[in-house]
Formats: sequence, structure tokens, C-alpha cells
Amino acid sequence: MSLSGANPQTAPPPAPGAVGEASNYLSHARGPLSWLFTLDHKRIGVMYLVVILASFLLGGIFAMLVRTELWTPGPTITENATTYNKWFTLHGAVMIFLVIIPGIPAALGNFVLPIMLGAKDVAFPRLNLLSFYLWVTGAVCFLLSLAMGGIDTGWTFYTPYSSKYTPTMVIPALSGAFVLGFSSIFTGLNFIVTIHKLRPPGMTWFRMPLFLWGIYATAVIQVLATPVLGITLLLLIMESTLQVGIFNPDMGGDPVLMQHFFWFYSHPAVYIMILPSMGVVSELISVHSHKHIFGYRFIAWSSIAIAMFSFIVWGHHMFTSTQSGLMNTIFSAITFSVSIPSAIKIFNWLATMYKGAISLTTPMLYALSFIFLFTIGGLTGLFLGTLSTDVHFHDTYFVVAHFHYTMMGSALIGMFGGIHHWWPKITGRLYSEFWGRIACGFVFVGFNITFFTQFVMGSQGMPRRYYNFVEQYTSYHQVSTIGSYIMLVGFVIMGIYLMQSLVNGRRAPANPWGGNSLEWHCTSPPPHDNFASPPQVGDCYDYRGWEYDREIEGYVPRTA
Amino acid sequence: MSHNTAIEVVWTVVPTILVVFIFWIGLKGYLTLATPPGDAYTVDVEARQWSWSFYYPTAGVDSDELHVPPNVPIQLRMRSVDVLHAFFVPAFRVKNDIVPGKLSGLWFEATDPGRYQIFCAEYCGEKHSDMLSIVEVHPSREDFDEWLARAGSFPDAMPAAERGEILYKKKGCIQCHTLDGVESTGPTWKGLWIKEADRRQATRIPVLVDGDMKEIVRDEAYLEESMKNPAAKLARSKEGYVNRMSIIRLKPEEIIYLIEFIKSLGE
Repeated sequence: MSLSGANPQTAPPPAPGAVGEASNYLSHARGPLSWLFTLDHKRIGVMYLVVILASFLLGGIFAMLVRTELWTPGPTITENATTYNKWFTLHGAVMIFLVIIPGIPAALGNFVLPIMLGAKDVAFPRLNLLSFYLWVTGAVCFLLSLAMGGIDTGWTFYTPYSSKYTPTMVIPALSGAFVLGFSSIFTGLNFIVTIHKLRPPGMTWFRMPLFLWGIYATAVIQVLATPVLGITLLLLIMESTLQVGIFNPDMGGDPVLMQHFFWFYSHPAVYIMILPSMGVVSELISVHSHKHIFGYRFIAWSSIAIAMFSFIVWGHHMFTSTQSGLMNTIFSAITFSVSIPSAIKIFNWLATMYKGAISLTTPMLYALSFIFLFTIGGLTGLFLGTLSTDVHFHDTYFVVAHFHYTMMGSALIGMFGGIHHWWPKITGRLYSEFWGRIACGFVFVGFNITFFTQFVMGSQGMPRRYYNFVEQYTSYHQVSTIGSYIMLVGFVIMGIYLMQSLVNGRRAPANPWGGNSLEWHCTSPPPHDNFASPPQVGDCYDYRGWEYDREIEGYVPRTA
Repeated sequence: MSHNTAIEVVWTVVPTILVVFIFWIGLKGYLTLATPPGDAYTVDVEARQWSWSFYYPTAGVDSDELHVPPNVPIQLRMRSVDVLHAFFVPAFRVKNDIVPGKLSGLWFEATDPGRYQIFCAEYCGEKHSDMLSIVEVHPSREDFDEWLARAGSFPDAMPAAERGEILYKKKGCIQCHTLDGVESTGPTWKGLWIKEADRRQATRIPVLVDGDMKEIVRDEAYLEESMKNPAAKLARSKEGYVNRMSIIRLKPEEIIYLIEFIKSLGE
């Protein structure tokens, strides 16, 4: 990339430490109605962040119930198998539909995307608010489902169990997922148009921060794949209520057809989860190594490649479903294609860090955790994409470990890294770096103890979704459960210091980390309109225009 | 330095070659897994909520455990009577889903005598994790043949109620029906039958018939009908008056043995 050599900005620099003195988006208007009816992308992003973190708490409670029950081979905290089956179902459904899929795009993308483009807002602010209320409606449907006893079908809703045999009421949950799908589609649409139309003069596609490439690729998947989920959920509702027979073999239907419909969305969905997180990591690694990102174009294209390939590999979830050998072969071959762009990103991030001036800040620790955990998650995906080994690993804890390494250890870790990276910008406050690192340590160590054990246990044959298990797996389960409690400690610490930063955290400077993308060129928190006048576009990964100012503990434009 | 085309091409091409190689190995192994030899010994497998039944067609014998001779390719022909299940033997590295409405299969050749765990590996509802069985690999073909000859029958002297007790476990009734009065997925068998002498004074039990509550006499005919057609007259279980039982294949004499066992449980 050529260097523009331009000054970081044309507007007068924010006075060091001048935060919260000038009017910002938080103080711009007050009262609950100014939030509930806001069209400000920043406020919408904050509202999403709050409800998504609350959903993470709910999904986490179900996780702790599951892991605690698995402390002993027989009944531990519940005598009722159906209760356990509901816990793992709800853990999956809440985490996937309410937390990880909306996660980064809604909570961070909404806030950061327009500012990174130097724009005032997204292309369709009202559609944005509608997306938020659709999320809330979907969440209410899930809560309704909980109040009506919950569901025990697994988050995958396979037929005919979910359509004919389950004693639980699936309609509220299916409806909730349906509504949430529209939230996702509209957000994706909004972001696509925003990136196409609201880039400032001088910001060509290949001058955008890589976070936006990640968001863009994600948005394309959201728009194209989610409608298939919507149709699938409608068909399931029809099957459950009207017994139409499409998935019922007694009426000539095919249970496996539902799996095809389901995974046609749900495989691309996992890339909805990971692509934004990879985009965050590109920002974190570069900024906190104070070094230009390595291989920008490959990273940008890899996001698009992953999005495209993600649509043609869904059958790898179905290798033992009685799908034909030919289909299995084709899906296995194409599945490996997805691993290559992901590997490229890892290499580029490592090359970025090489000879960088690395600050081991909390966001950087999350980014480093991502690289380690995603490497494991991605490599174990190879075992699952390989036909002969997948026959052994399918439906065992090996798969559970794989998807936790990728969905939690990568996608969620990236989200928490992004939350910590942009927290000063969003809130105007700093959190305790000391406790931030401690919490990251607990989460990282606890995560590996919890889930690495599960790779071993799964390869020894321990099946998933098991309320009881045979004696020989007891020590694995107990180690895994201990790990989950260690992780819990980390998240509790995180909750405490983040709350504390809101109450009396130190005021944040405009640029605490020394980044050069446009969000660091406005105050922390940003003004209501983001920028007084359109900022000048430079190379967002060129940090040489900033220098550290000890007084404000942040970066200011280099004067020399 | 913010990019280096040569390195970036290398670290794209080399992983690509590696994954092609990994795919190829996987495919070769899979083709072996998916192609049973022509001379395989066939056993029929029936999966249902929440037990297994293995049927040896040449001998006409049902078993709740999968017994096989050593060093012989064994082909399983699998069907489900209700929801998705999957047959998984970790020790043999074999697994396949069992889909209602069609037959699915897998094959293996066991070389080491012993007893190996069978798991259900596709979530199938409440007692998915209790749907266990065993593969017993006999030390020799003769040993297996001997087992097969005995497997279909009870010792001549064994009374009917004892035979019923064995069937209670082998047929999977134990998963849902308790013997001590505790409510479970199916009605408890304690007190399910009333002696003829006491029928006039005994309370009739309420059952759901075609959507209406009726009161019936607890006699052998009712027990037999419920075993053959569980949905006909629904007695009360943990969830109320609902049916969770799939149709289980029972021979006429097996029904008699089970009824005798229930009768022996008393009130």
C-alpha cells in the first residue's frame, strides 16, 4: 500500500484529556426515550452490547448447569434427563442466536463502522433501529419459550424428534429464531449499502480498515443465507402444527432433508460468527504491535473467499447421516478449501507482529489468545473434514471441543478483545489494565482446561448430548468442569472491572492505543455527529503520525 | 515491510498441497468403511427410544446385545421405528445414523475377542444417554454358534415370570417402566394388574381412550393390548396421559412371559 504521508487529521486535535467536557453522543440527549427511539448508530450499538452481554450471561448459566451436572456419571444436580437435555439445548440456542451471530456486527460494528468511514451514521438509521427491536422481539420469544418449559431438541432441531416426538413446545423458540433472522438480514443489508455508498473521498476498497472487510463479507452471508433459515423454521413450524409430512417418513417425507435445509444456513452462519472476529483481530494485532498490517490484500480477499466457500460445504455436518458417498466426497474436498484462507490470515498476523513493538495490553492478550485458540480450532477442523476420521469423531465430544475452540475461543474471544479495544472510545472511560489481564488469563487457562480435555475424551468415544455417561470418562468430565469454573472466575472479574470503569474509571484520551483508523481521530466518547467535517483519509495502518504522551496516557499527533 | 508476494504465495500453495493429501487419505479410508465385503454375515438392528434389538435372520433369534464371531465381516442392516438414532462402537471406529423410513448399514470385522461398548450417537430424546448395549466378540466361530443356539430360548425349567423379568431388561422396558411405583416416562408396573378375585372391589384405573377418559379393569387383555398397541389405552405416567412408546416387536410367548412377570409384582 502506498503511504499518503498525510497528516492524521485536518480538524483541530482534541485537547488532551478533553473528554466528556464537550458534548458527546452520551450527553447529547437524555432520558430513556432518547435511547429507545434513537437513530444514532452509536446508541444502537451500545444497546445491543448491553442485551448481548446479558444473553451471554443467560447462556453461560445454562453452560455452568450442564458442566456441573456432568461432574458425576449419574444424576448430579438433577434427577431428570429431560431437564438436562433442555439445559444443553438452551445453552446452544441462546449463545448462537442471541449472542454470537449478532455479536460483533451488532455490538461493535454498529458503533465503529460509520466512524471508521468518517460518516455520520449508517445508510439506513431507521432500519438499524428496527433491527434492534427485531432482536428484542426474538429474545422475548425465547424467554417465552423458557417460561413455557423450554425445549429439549438440541439447537439443531432435527426431525422427526422436534416435529413429532418432543414433549416440549418448540413453536415459541422457532418463532424467536425466525424473527432474529430478520434482525440479522437487515443489519447485513444496512452494512453492505453503508460500505458501498458512504466511504469518504479517497477511501477506496483497499484503503478500508480490515475490520470493515470482515463486516462486509459477514453482511453478504447474512443477507444470502439467513432467508434459508427462515424458510426452514417456517417448514418446521408447519410440520409441528399441521403434520404436513415433509420430514415425516410415515407420510413419505424425509427427515434428512431437514438437515440439508438447516445446515445450508447454519454452516455459513459459523462464518457470520468468525469473520467479524477475524476483522477485529486484524485491527488489534496491528495497532498493539504498532506495526503496519502484513499482507493487507490477501487478508481482504481471504474474507471474501471464506464467505463464498462457506456456502458449498454444509454437507460436512452430515457425513454419517446416510448421505451418499459421492456427496460425502464432494463436501469433504471443498471443505478443505475453506481452511486455506483462514490459515493465510494467521500467517499474516504473525508476520505483522514480527519485529513489531508489542504492547501486551488487554486487547492484545485477547488477540494473541485468538491466534492460539483458532489455530487449534482450525486444525481440528481438518480431522472433522477428513471422511474416515469424521466417522469416528462425529457426535462425540471431539466435535464439541472443535466448535467451542472456534465459536468461543475464537469468535467470542475476538469479540471481548474488540470490546476492550473500543471500550475507551465507546464509554470515554478506561478500565483497569491489571484486572483486564488477570481476567484474560483466567479465561484463557480455564478455556483450555475445559475444552482441550474434551478433544481427548471425544477421541476415546464419549458421545455428545449425554446426561449420563459411563464410568471410564469420569476424570475427563471432572477436569473439564473444573476448567469451566476457572473460566467463570475470569468472566466475573471482567464484569466487575467493566462496571467499575463505568462508575469511576479514568477518563479516556481520544487515542489510548495509538491507532490510526478514523475512530481514533475523534474524542472518546465521540460527538453526536462523529466528525465536525469529513476527516482526511490516510493509511489506517500507518502509525508514525502519533506519539505517546505520558501525561494523558494516550497518543497525540506527532508535532515534530 | 507490509507485504511480500513470494512468501505469501508459498504459504498459500504449501498448505493447499498438504490438505489435498489429507483429503485423499480420508477418502481412501472412507471407501473401505463404506464398502462391505460380499460375504459379510448380516445382523438386523432395530433402534428405538431407548433400546437396541439385534435380530439374527438365519436363526430367527432376537438379542439385546450384539454377539459376533471373530474374523468374519459383519454387516449391520439398521432401522429405526421412531426418531433418528445412530449406532456407534468407538473401539471399532464405526458409526452410522439410523433414519426412520429407510435402511442404513455399516460393516466391521472384529479380530479381538471381548466386550465393547455400543453407544447411540444421534440425540433421540430423554434417555438418549442410557441407550447402551454391548458388542460381544466371541473367541471362536464355534463359541458364537453355541451362543446363537441358546440365545433364542430360556432354560426349560425357568418359570414364566422369571422369563418375563429377563425380557423386562432385554427388551428395554426397564428404561421407562419402574417396578416400585415411582412415576417415569411410562406407567409404573407396580399395581398394574389386579387378581381376578379382587376385581370387583378394586378401583378401576382411568385411561385415555381416543381422547376420552374411561375407567377399565386391569386384566391380562388390557396388558396384552397395551404391549401391542401402546397408544390404545393410556394409563397415567410422569407426563400425564401421553404415549411415548414406539411399537416393539414381541413374540406371542414373550407377551405371555411379560404379563406373568407383571402379575408377580403384586399391588
